[in-house]
Amino acid sequence: MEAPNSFKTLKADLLSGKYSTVDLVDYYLSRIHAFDGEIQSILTITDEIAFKKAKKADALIKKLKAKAFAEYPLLGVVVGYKDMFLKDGVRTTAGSRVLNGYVAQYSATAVEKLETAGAITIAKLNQDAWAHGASGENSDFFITKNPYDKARVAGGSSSGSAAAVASDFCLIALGTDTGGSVRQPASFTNLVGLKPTYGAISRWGVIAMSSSLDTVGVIGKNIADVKQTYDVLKGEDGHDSNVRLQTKSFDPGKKVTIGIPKEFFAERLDPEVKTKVEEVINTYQQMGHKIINISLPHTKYGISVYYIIQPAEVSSNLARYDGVRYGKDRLAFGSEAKRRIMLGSFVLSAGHYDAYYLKAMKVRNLIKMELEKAYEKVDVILAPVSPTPAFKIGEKQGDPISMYLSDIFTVTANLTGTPSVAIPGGFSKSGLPIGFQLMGPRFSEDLLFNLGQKYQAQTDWHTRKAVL
Amino acid sequence: MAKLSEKQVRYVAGLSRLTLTKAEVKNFQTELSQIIDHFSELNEVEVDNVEPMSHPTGLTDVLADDEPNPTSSLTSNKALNATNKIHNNYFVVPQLIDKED
Repeated sequence: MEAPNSFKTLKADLLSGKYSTVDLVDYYLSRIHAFDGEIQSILTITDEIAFKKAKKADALIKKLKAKAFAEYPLLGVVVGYKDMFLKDGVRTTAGSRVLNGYVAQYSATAVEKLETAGAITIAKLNQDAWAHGASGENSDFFITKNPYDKARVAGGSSSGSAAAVASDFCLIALGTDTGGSVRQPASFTNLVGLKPTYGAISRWGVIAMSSSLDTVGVIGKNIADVKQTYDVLKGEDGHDSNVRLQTKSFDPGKKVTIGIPKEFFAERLDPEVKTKVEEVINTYQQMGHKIINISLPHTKYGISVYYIIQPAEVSSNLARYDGVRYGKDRLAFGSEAKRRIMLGSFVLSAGHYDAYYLKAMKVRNLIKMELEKAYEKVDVILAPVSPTPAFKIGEKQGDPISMYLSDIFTVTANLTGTPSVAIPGGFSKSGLPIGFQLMGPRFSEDLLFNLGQKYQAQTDWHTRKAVL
Repeated sequence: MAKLSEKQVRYVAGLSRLTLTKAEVKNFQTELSQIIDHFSELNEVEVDNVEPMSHPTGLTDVLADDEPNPTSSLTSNKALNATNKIHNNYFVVPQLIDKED
């Protein structure tokens, strides 16, 4: 059998009886056993939970046929979760030894929503510990490999989420995106990665990293699947008080104005990435959309602003890990977690607060105002996701600044609370995936999906698979 | 900015409740200084009359009813099941006050 490439194929296959949901879970598990020894994307396999749910799904399909999918929009969709997501009764580690052995006492809203919609949980996925990283190398357990070149990183911090979907260990995965942690690994593995509007999806039950920046994100094989998952996830749950949905209507056939920010094409950008993203721009131009050059001069300070605000919030959020109520004590923190806690405590400490933290909050506002102004002139912004394709394992270890700069094009969306979708845009000469991102104003997800779907209708990059 | 002193690093570690080895302290003196140096680019940015932004939503004062909510509470059994430091159905915390105080 072959793994389904979309929810659409999955539904057709299950309805026609090509395979059952139980067969599908069997198939994914056989791939996991054959290949994850090398890819190392999984921290915990939840096979018992998966089989139990699959049997229920098969019974529903048998009884209700097509109607089952109207009632359960994600019926039979096999999903993996970054280990930031709590699932009641299942080991949840955040990729850190501090929580090794911790069994979640309740489930995240995102997990409950997907399961209620019929999705089947197959695994908890590897990640940089506490979501601190842009490569997956900061996992306290092992380093996830890129399915397209196993000497390279899968990206991070949602390394396992990207590698597992790209390896056909599951059809969709959830991650978290605080500074690019869903979009960058998605673009390193030829997948679609959604970082939604801050306040669109509840983070209840998701381990907190940096609370003014954290979002729940989706990694999938195409825009339609990611949109369908987002539609299930979005909305208030009464627990995350930041969630207030707004709907923005738009004309799906409309030709839009796409802004190209020159700061995102500066000298730091790898020439192959530049060429590919320029090809994407041409594709949109040929569809009749208007391309205009814009400037976002303050975004170049994004990394400094991000690496002040984020560690400050990390130092606060990780203060709760003292080994009293769960987990191990603070001696168990790995080196990157310690680095960020230290950095955060420093920028918040008396005598440094004004110079660093307060200043960063003000520059953050400048970036937000600058972006809002840009959206008065353009509908969306198109830019590269990462300055380079996937880099070699070890290449940036021991050089935190170089690692932090990997986030240069992605942090803008987090700092401003706006949505961005990473979309496959082709491959480098050596066969490494290269992605681009479509960014838009708050709650413009549907417009971004619409434009992404138009691109995917004309290209087939997203249908290519890694050879394991 | 000049390299952080050993004393400064130990002070920040104290604020962070982290116990560092000698080697870690030495390493942080260099590494944190380098990262903080990178932040000096923010000195170029004019921020007079700019309000600090702490949050992207603009929401203020989202308040919950002051009532116990069973959907966001754990039973005491569940709450206690992730630690073995329990006494009479309570968490055992490190001692904060000297017995003689």
